[in-house]
This record gives sequence, C-alpha cells and structure tokens, in this order.
Amino acid sequence: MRQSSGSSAATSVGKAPAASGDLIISARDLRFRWPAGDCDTIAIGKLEIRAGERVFIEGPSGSGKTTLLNLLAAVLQADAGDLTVLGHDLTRIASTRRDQFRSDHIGFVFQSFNLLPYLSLIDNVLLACRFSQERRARIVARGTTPAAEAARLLARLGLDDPAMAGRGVHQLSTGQQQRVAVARALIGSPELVICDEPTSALDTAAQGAFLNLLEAEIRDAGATLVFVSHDRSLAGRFDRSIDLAAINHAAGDGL
Amino acid sequence: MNAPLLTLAVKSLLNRRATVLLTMAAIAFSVALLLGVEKVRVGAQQSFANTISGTDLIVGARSGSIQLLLYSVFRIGDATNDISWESYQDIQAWKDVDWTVPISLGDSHRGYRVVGTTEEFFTRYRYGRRQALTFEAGRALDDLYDTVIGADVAAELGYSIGQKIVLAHGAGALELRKHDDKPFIITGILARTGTPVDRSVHVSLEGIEAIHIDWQDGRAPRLGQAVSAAEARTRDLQPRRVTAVLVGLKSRLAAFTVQRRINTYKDEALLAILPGVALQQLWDAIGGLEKALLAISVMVVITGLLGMVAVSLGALNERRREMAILRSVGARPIHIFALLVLESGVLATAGALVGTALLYAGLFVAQPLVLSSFGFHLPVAWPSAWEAVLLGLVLVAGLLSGAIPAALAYRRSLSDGMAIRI
Repeated sequence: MRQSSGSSAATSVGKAPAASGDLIISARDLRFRWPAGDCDTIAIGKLEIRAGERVFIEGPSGSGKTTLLNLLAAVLQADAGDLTVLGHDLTRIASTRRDQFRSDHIGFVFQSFNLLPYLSLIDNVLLACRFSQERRARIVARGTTPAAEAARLLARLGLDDPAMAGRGVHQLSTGQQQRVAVARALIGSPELVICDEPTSALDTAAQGAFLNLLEAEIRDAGATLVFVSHDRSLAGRFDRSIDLAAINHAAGDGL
Repeated sequence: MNAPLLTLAVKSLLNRRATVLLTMAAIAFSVALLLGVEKVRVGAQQSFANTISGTDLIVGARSGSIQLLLYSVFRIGDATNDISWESYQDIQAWKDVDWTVPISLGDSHRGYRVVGTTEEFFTRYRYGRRQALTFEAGRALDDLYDTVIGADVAAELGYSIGQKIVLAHGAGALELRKHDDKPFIITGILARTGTPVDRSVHVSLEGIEAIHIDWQDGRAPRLGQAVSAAEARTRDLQPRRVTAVLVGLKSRLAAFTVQRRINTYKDEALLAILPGVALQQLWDAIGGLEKALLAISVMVVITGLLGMVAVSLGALNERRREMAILRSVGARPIHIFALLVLESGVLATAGALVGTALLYAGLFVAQPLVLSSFGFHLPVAWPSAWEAVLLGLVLVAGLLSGAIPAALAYRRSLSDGMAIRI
C-alpha cells in the first residue's frame, strides 16, 4: 500500500510522457463523419486537456460524445484535422498500433455492464493487462504482480470481501460493478482514464460514493480524467467543465 | 496472446454451459456415427473379402460369376446347372491342379443349407488370413450318415454332438419333403469363422447320394420303392454330379491359364472364377450402400456443425457488449475473430473427442453382438490413418464454420468500436 497521495501524482507513473500541465489531448479542426452519414458528427475547432486535469465534458445524447470518445481512444480515425493524444498523432497512427495504444495508455469505464460475466472479479480487472505488455511492465517495475495489484485496487475500492471473490460478477450490485470497472481502468497506471456516463446507472447516494472513490484513485494514480455525462449537476466536482454542444459545431445538425 | 484468448474462449463456453453442452453432444454423436459407419464399412469389407482364401479357382456350370460365387460360397440362390462327375475328375487330374474339393448343394435343414462335400473340405477351406477350419467339438465326417455343423447352426438350434437331425429336400424353409427315413448324426461342430460356413450343415457326397437313392426327378419314393438307411449303405453311392468345385493350384501363376482352359472346356459349359476378383465385383455391386451410409453420416456431421454455427450466430447479438468491453481494453478486431474461431475449435475438438470415446464404448459393447448376429469381426483398434484424417477434417470444418460468426463479429467490432448498441 502506498502511504502518500497527491504529491506522488506526477512521479508515480514511471513512464508518463507528460509532466503535470503538459497537453495530453490536443485537437484542432477535428472532423468526423460516419460512413453512412450525410453530415459530420464531430466538428471541433479546438480542444485541449492538460496532464493531471480532471475534466468534465457535458454532453447530452446526440451531442456526439460517444463518437468523440471513440476518436480519443483511437477506435475511430478522424476524417480531417489534428488529434494528438499523449504525444501520439491519432490521425496518422497505423491501424495495427491503435488498439495497442488504447490498451497501454487509456482506461475505460462505461455506463454499465462493464464486466465479462464469465470472468471472476480479479480476472475482469486483469483483462486490461492481458492485452498490454506495457501495463504489466509498469506493475512489475513497482515490484509487484498483476494479480497482487488487482487485489490491492479492489481492496482500495472496498471490494475485498472474501465472499465476493467466489461469486460471479453478475451477483454484484451495479455500484460494485462500476467500482470493478474503475479498478480495471486504473490497473497498470494508464495516463488517461475516460469515463462514459459511469454514474447514470447509480442512485444518488451511490453516485456520490462512487465519485469520491474515483476522484481519490485518479489523484493517487496521477492520471488524467475525462468524465463525460449529461448530468450537469456533477460538473462542480471537477477541475474544469467543457460543454460539448458548445465546442462541437456539428452537434444537432445531423439530427 | 493465444493462451489468454484460449482461456477466455473456454471460460466463455463454460459460461453458456447448457447450449454449449447440447451443441457439443450433437457434434459428438455425429462424429461417433461417422466413425462408426466407417468402422462397420471397413470391418464388413474385410470380413467379406476374407470369406474365402487359399482357393485359387471356383468352378461351376456356366452362369454369371457373381451368381456362382453367391451359391458356392455364400449359400445364396441356387445353381442353374451342375458339373458332371467326369468333368470334375478330368480337371482334378490336370497337372497344374493341386487339389479339388467338390460341393453338392440342394438340400437344407431348418433353413440352413446342406453342403455335400469330401473330407478335404475341412482341411482345404481357408478364410481370413488363410485360417483353417477348426472343430469346436467332435470330429470330421467319417460315417455315411455323419454330419458336421457350423457354429451358428449349433448355437441357434441348440444342437450338440450325437444329436440326430433330418435333412429336407430343397432349400425352402417350409420343408415339405423331408429325408426323414435317413437321419444324420452330428459328429462335429465347427468353431466360429464369421463366414457362411457357420450357417452350413456339412455331409459327405455319398450321404447326399444315399438320401436321394430312392428319389426320382425330385419326387419322394413311392410306396414299396423306398430304400432303408441300412440298405442304402450297400448300394452304389458314387456321385454322378456336383454343384461346384473349389480348386487349389500348384502355382497361382497358372490361375489364368487354368481358368481359360475351364471356360473353354469342350465337353461341358463350365465357368471358373477367381474368388478374389469375384468378391471384389460383388462388393462393388453392393458397395453403393456403404457409400450412401458414409455420405449420410457426413451430412449428419455437417448438420451438427451447422447447429454450432446457428447457436454461435444467435449468441452474437447478446455478446456485443462483451466484444465492446474487449475492444475497450485493447483487443484488436482480429482478437475478436480469433476468440470466436477458438470457441468453435474448442467445441469441435471436444465433440470429436467425446464422439470418439462414445464410439469405442459402443464398439466394446457391440463387438460380440455384431460377431454373433452378423458374423463379422469389428476390430477395436486405434483409429486408422483414414479415421484420423476424418477426425482432422471434422476439426478443420469446425474451425471453418467457426469463421462464419467470427467474421461477422469482426466486421461488427470494426464498425461498433466500443459503442455498445443493443
């Protein structure tokens, strides 16, 4: 267990390419259109997010937020403009490198049902290490093993009840499932964590508890957080808030 | 990255136990059927080809070669004509001829054919890999009214040494006309051979003459003309005709020469066949059935695999979220493809293994039954090279059919990315 937090934010990630304050996401004149679409889904003039920032992106449905996240994660490739994430030019990255990039540098938390039903709690967390040599290397460099690290993260998120380990993940509550997803996103210290409406399946009390845990873990890991939600009331908890509808000029045009 | 994917595939399959087990069972049964049909086919063909060996030529009256084979070896159907004793003796004296065993057919006992022959039949007749006939009990023919019965006759009719049996005229099961005035005593029971010998009742040629001595033109003797069994012993019992002759040559090289000489025999219209060739012809004639069986079992395997594809495709929609999660942690579309192909591969492999186990379990149970009811030996041996090829083909077909849902999932994971669309 690490004793300190906060001060270790910038140094705990061994290979972090960006010091606190450096641009971690930089987009210019980004355009994307679905192959079947007759207009752009994304048309963003400028978007900048700095390392260590915890950014809230407010996006009602139809604002193109899922498309934006897919662009940031290099699942989709922009049609025009520049997009640099963690120093990687995602408009030019080779298609074979895209999935590796995502698996090494980005942790994801979806709205719900984040877990594979046929894997145990620990295996669901370790899934993120299966596809990333780099995440495994970062864990080993800190003198521990992926399994021990997964157990540590689950314990920190309050999921170390031994009875829980034996049960199938579908027996967990939604809040517990979301916390497992956070552990998976954080294992191996990716520089960027993207959460796509992670609290909208939770009730208000669970939302608060979840956000507290998430904030603490992100700060402790020294990661950058991009948190997308349609729920404006959450914005106050973050360093900065961006209204996607305001910066995405294509939003609404296609609907 | 293969081992983790394989683990994922196995765990994913275990998660869907019920459908997966049913699918696997369908493949297992189809594989067991395929291999079983193949085993029976090979076993039947070998057993068939081994019905008679060591005999170089079979000679009969001129007819079709398959017909001659059927009545002389398989005791099926009737001869249209006989061979005269003079021709038989002439051929016996040819310098290329090593030995001859005459066969006289036409009578029966409770549905089993009676074979009139000589002592030499029991030493010259060979089956399988030149195996000789052996006696389960008793001895060969000695007295005029002695008979040696095959294993099936003894087993099915419950006969034992010393019992008296009555022969019937003709081959009909109704036995309207019996030679009940001259009963025979069972002196020998042959060990099982898996050939028609098991279903034959053997008597001497003279015995055949004796029971017909007072018969005329196939009619039972009139009152007052009957000759008693004891009286028949004093009569001339020299056979005048035989139905067929098994011929052994001094050198097999002479087979074609002797065959031609018999087929062009001047005094009588005769036919000589090479048993191996005729057996092959007959097998080819009835072999369509075995091919049909094989084709059907291949269809059943395809049906099993199609079931697997259907189940896999059906599950694909509800697994979209699973694919999106895998993509979010860095799985490439090719990983998704490989995962689904691996699942089918694991399923097909499990099906093939269980099916093979089922087959061998079935073989152990069926082997004695098949030997007793169909008279052929089903070998319980390791899979032959051809059977291994069949198993390999099932696995390849399993992987290929797994590629169908895998390709679909691949395309979807390209277009869906991490978006979970349900």
